[in-house]
Amino acid sequence: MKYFKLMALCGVLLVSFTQAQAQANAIDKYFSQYVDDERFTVVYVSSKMFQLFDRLDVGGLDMDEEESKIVKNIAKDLRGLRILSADEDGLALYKEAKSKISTQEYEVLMTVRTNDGENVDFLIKDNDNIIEELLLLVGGEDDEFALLSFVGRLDLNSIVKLANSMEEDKKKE
Amino acid sequence: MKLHTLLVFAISTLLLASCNSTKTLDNFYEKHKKEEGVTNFKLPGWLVWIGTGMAYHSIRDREVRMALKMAKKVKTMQFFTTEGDYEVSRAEIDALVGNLKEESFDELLYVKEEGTQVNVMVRDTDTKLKNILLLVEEEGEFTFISMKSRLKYKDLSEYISYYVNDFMGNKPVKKKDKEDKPRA
Repeated sequence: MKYFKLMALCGVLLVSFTQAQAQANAIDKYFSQYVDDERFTVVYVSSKMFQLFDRLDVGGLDMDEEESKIVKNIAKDLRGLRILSADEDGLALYKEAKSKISTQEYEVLMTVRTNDGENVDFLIKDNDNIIEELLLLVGGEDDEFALLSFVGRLDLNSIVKLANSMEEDKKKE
Repeated sequence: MKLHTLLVFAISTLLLASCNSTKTLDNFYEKHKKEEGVTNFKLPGWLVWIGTGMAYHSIRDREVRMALKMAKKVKTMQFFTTEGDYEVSRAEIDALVGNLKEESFDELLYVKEEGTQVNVMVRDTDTKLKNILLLVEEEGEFTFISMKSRLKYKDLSEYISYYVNDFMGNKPVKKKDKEDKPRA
């Protein structure tokens, strides 16, 4: 009976892992599907680029040492930025991308629909206080489409710290 | 006189041979360089150093001087471009990028827009960028610029800070002049 329970638990874990993998692949597949499509503009900024920020010590950004440390901490955990945009079939592409996003995995932060038929969806995939992916989806009747995916580990506590520090600086001024 | 000419030739050949780079790039370069429609050259480090050094001392513009200061950190440079009927296939470019990744090159940035594809790749250590590579494919024409550098992150920080300060309208931080030191 003990072994049966253990096996059942392993089964459940395996299924959840496979589902998570499948979801990650859905967005990945969407990018792969259109990466060679001439209609699309594709931008990919790798994790290496973000790691470089960690090694740089850029002055003049109006940040104190503490802020600079937090920003570097945030940047070093980013794994990449992918942008896919097109100037045609905006609504169809928006609907297709949206159909691939699982509502179990992603939480909607904000949705905007303008009176000229443009849709903007801002979604996140998170785990406790860590945001694993920020997804921005834009598309509508004016034919413009954009999908922006920020992948990495965005620690909400770090972001709050940074915001507080900047707020304090403002007050001092 | 003959010996002198031979010596100059031997040294130049050695310096050029020491130019750059990686096995993958070298193989690619060797394979295509003699084809019609291919323009290519290698600049040895000493030439880059002398060229940028001379320009640095004769130019007063601060921005250009800053750029030249960075250019002095380039050890060697390799340029390759195709035009006309000669085409490097997409599959070959993909293989080149793949092999470079196996040689510890990291992709920094990839942009594709209307038939133009740009890849920026680097190979680095903890303190400096060893190789910087720019690959551009545009309407059947393929170009790569490969630089072997001794660009330290410290230099890069200084360079970026300069432009950030310039953009934000901050005054550049000047190093203390000798005059600032108290005189005995």
